[in-house]
Amino acid sequence: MNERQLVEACIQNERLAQRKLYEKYASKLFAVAVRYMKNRDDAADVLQDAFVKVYKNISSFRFDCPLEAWLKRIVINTALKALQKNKRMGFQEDVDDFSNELSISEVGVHQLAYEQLMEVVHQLPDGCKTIFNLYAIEGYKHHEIAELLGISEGTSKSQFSRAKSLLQEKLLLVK
Amino acid sequence: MASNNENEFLNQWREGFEQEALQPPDDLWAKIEAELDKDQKKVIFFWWKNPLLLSGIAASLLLVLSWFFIINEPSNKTVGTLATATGKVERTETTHRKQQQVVAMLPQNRENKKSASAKTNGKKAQTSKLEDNIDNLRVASTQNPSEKNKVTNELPAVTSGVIAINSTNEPLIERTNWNIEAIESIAFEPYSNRFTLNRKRLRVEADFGEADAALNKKETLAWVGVHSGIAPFNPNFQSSGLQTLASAGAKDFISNGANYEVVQSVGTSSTTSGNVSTEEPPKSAFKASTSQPVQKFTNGRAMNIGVRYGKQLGKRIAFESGLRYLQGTSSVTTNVYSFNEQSGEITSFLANYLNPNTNLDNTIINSEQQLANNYEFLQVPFQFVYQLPFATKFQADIVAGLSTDVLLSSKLGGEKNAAIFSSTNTSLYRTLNMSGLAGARLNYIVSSNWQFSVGTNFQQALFSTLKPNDANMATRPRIMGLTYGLNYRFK
Repeated sequence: MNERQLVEACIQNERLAQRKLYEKYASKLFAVAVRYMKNRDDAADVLQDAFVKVYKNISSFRFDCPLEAWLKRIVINTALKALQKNKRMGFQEDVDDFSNELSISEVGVHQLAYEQLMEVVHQLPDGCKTIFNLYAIEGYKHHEIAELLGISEGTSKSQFSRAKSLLQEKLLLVK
Repeated sequence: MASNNENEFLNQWREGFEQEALQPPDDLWAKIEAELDKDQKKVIFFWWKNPLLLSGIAASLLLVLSWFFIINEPSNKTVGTLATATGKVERTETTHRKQQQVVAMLPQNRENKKSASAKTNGKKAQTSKLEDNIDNLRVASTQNPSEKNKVTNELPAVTSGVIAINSTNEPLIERTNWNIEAIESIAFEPYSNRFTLNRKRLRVEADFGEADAALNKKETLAWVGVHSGIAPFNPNFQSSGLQTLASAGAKDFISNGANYEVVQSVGTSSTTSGNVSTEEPPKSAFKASTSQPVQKFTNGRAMNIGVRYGKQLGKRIAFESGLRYLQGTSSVTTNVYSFNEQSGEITSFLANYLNPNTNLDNTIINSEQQLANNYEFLQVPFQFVYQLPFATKFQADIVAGLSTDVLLSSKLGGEKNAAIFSSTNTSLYRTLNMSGLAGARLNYIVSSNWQFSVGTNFQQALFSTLKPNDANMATRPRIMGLTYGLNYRFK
């Protein structure tokens, strides 16, 4: 069963196809949810809600973007809503710009394993972490993040700058 | 340089998370499955417990049942009451040839004549018919012949995380300097059996194509569409005085000593296939003892086609208008004619009455003839739409409103009794009319922009299409039938 057939079967509410879709993407999507949430339990709740939304709205998927990207977007949106619902995201509007005192080569991200990177990211405050995830990992632009989170573009930039600075410090500690 | 460093920084992080994967809890699928099952039960519950939906279904059923009632009711109406015209007519001449003409006009032979005459609606054919029969003028007794007629966003309490957070690093993050502001609470509103987030700022326009469409369903703002419909057409013609006028006219004509021959139908039965002797009638029967003018209206078909424009006024309320052309056909069976004794011009008594431009003074009751009675309207409906979404792909609409109807033309037996473009429009018909509208329709959402609809509609003129007249005639056209269309929705 290829991707199209899988989606079409899910549109028909075929439980076996829904299970296959879950099994195919759950681990990747769970990792995304864990990156945004405080812990695995919260991430599991997000993933559960996201999959329910996926099955309800899969008929609107038009195959004009990769299915994985579409699923990932749903998980990210669900995670953001959960964070906002629990008021976990806070952004300091007037933070000073953190200067990049450390050069990239000194950080050595590529020398760390995935689990270590995840651990470092989780040490960021929720607001910083969210913007770092959206900008650095997902590839959103600052103006998109601003619209997504209802903040100013400047706040997004300064929060990312702060996240970057904090990460550099933490990476030095890890090393 | 700084930009290159940042790009390298970003690339390193993206590569680091490129193959990210974590095994979710084993029981997660079971939870998802339970949620899906619960939602299916919610849908069933919604179907049976939602009073709005039930009322919509009830209204639809009512309309459908009414429609069946309409199409099953007898379609013919005989206007007015029986009238009698009597007159003593002296027979002046009897020939074998004329007897044969009488036989030709007997009910059993009349069918052939009717079918032949139905093909010709012009005055010429009618005049010819008159010439054939005028010598055999008789007052026939008739009767009515039988006709064929959620998802919760409540997160559980934070429990232990598997990924340990290095709390010893806490001092590195000067939390006390962080002025963490609370994000404003999120409000939800129930929408059908789902929940839709109110905050527009969560909408994201990114290069994820349709993913956005699924996550950020936009509301329909307006729509345009084409539609058509077909239904039985009931001219709903009523008259309490036409028969009397017809009878009186016929009686006057006879009483004034018209030198025409009248053949008496013999027998007391009011059936049109009554007994008329093919032999030379008895001497005592040379009186026009019974006369029964016939004006029977038979329902026809209505067909409409048009365009519509709708605008969303609220979450479930919309306004719809447009323009449509409606053509309604029906027929009239009559045996009363008006003619001019000198010129031989003849038309049906009803058509002569409805069109003041024709002025034929003499009236006779003769053989029945079926005349086409057609109407053309240009309509501008104004209606409110109450929307009841009950499934992902389906939405029921209840519509009600008014329609402004411009009568383009009305024809009876080939003659125009009303025409909007006529410079001498002295017809009894009103050009501007108004009717009430009601209906129910089912919309199938083909795609995010296209929608197909099918349903029933009822429309009836609120006022008579005829101006006040001596014969107390009134017509309030009524249609009830099927309507279908295609809409393009703007979001």
